Amino acid sequence: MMVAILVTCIVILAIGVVFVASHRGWRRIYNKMHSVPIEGGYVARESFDKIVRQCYKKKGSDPNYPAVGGSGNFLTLKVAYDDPSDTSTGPDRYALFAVTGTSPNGILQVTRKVRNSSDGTEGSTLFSTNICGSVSSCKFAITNGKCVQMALTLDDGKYLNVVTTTSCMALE
Amino acid sequence: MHVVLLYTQRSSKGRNKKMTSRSNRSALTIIEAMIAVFIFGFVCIGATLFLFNAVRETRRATLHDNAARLALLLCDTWRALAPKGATDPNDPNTFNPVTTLGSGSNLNMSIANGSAFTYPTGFSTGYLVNGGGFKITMTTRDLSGNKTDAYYAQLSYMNNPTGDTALKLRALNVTIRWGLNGGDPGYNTATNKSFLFTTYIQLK
Repeated sequence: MMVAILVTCIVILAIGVVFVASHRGWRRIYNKMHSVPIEGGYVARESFDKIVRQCYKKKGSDPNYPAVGGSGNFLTLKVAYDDPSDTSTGPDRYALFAVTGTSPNGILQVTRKVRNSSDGTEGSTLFSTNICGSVSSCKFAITNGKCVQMALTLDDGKYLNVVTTTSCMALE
Repeated sequence: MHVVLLYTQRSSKGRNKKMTSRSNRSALTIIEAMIAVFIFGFVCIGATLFLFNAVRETRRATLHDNAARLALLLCDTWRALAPKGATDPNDPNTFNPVTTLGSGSNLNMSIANGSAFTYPTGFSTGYLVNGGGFKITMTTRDLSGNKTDAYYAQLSYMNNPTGDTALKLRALNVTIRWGLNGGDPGYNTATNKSFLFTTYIQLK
């Protein structure tokens, strides 16, 4: 009887250990896919691709855009793009990618503004959208005025995710 | 209660019979427990293998995703540097990811020894900076701590890949390699995985 109880106790303890290990493993896999830096990285990547691919550049027009500004870990990117819901041709909107707050709790935002088609100046702000949080570094680069790269580092203390993406604008 | 009384009124022969009966019941309980342990052992091994493989494959998928994005990053950037304006069919420009894309604490690009790298048959690295070989290190973190993984990129190009010179096409290829389980196993190891990305540009 004592042996049976001992064996049963071992079995119960083993079941407990397996349950705990299962839970930890599951949590690890889940967080690997659904933690703030990981999900934020996917959202930032898709938002960036979508907006930059809406941009197009005419030869000789808007030599100042796209433009990278800022300094340090948080750079900004401004691009001119064509609003697909608008019937006019040519870039009629600006999109400004910028990080607010301080590292590592920055928030990547995109602010959309009206672009005056006549002279290319900035008009009123339409709206701002928070893309993702936990931003510790955000850098942009422009290649040959046509292709924009983004290197985004997201860090919530537990998970650190580096997102690299690139998007080329349409040319005319 | 009735059974106990029945046993106590028996002779010594009957007591032996009673002990045999109790012994059988105890032995049966141990056997049941041992079978349970045996079955549970299989379940434990199965569950452990499942979890181990699930965590490992998640990491491998992340590495593959990062490699694909890096290959796309290099390919698109290179393509942007070599637009229709490129007139010399022998010069695929001087694309250097180290200076073009820069480096940072968590994402760092450096020159690697291109002489040992491989690239598709028919492609060339002759005019590329550093023979087209670059090393990219990326530092990420999960619950098990920081991880620094190395990716090796080889750039190569091919003029007139279709054989039709009138098209003036140039194929730009990025081959990227990384350790199956991450880290920096070096470029030429059996456990390396590779990803190949090719895009095309039209010369003037």
